Amino acid sequence: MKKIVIIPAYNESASIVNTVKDIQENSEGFDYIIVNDRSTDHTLDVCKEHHLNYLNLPLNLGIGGAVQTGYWYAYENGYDIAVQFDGDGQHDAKYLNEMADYLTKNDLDMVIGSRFIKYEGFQSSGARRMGIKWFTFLIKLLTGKKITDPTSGYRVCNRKVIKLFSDNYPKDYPEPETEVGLIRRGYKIEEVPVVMRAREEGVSSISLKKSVYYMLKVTLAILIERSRKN
Amino acid sequence: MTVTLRIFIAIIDILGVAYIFHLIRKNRLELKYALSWFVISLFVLVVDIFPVIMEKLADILGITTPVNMMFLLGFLFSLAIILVLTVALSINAGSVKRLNQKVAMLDKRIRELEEKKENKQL
Repeated sequence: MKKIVIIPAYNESASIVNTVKDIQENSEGFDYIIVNDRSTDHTLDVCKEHHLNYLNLPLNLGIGGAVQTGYWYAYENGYDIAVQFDGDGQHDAKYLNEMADYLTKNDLDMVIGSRFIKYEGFQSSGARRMGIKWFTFLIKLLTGKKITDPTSGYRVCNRKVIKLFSDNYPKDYPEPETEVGLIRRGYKIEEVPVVMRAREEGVSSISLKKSVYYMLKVTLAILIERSRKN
Repeated sequence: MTVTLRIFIAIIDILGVAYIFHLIRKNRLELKYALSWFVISLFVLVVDIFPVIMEKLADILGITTPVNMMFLLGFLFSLAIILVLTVALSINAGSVKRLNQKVAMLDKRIRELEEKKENKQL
């Protein structure tokens, strides 16, 4: 079974090497692919220098477009399992095998690493947790499925979902929306508890200024996604 | 509407059509997107020549001055064209994204092939 870790990277020159090291040391049987989203720092140079496995986007696509590139690459190269893994040190590679095993053993389509099952580690700020709770509520209301951490970027999926995501993936803040899309299609999603770290370097893609846009956009996206026909 | 206004509108209309025609000839505007502009220009010209159409329409909707009826229609047409443009832009953005992703993958493939070639030569 071929497994790959997709690492979207935008200005992650300071942490990208550690991220790859973390994956190689703390997981087994995973390839990785970095998707450099036209970083303005030295991310590309670092990738070249350390002979990392990377894709280099000529234009900046934003997180959704970058991650989708990874899924497309995974699909074209015959991978059975793909994991989305942040390049900023938030995610811990020791859960990779656990999550992938959980996926295959239970014949699931996606496994989400959730911070809010055991409530350990970095829990995000109060305002952000409120936003996350709102999405959990909204998804439960619309689909009947409870997802405790719908904004978690730490997600493992099978080839069926890899194919789906490589064809169609939202431009920004994709997680909650795509989960509704999977549930709508009758795909099986489960969560496992993970501990996340506070980000090492770089800035979160969601600044305070953008949070209003974020809440509105994702709420609307969830509603529209739910209304789509199978 | 006064005759002066009608002549003014007719001149603007004809100049506009001439310019759109010029843009298409120079391949700077796609005929596909220009068609809606031609339809509007034609409509404006017809209404300009036969103002009674506007007067009747304005009367039905309770608009006192026929020229305001024209402004309203012009505004609605403009909105429709902007919406069509936004759709075209979205499609375009999707294509650019797809090309961009493909370029990144081809770039990787070229690097790999070049590396292989170098290793063979050594």
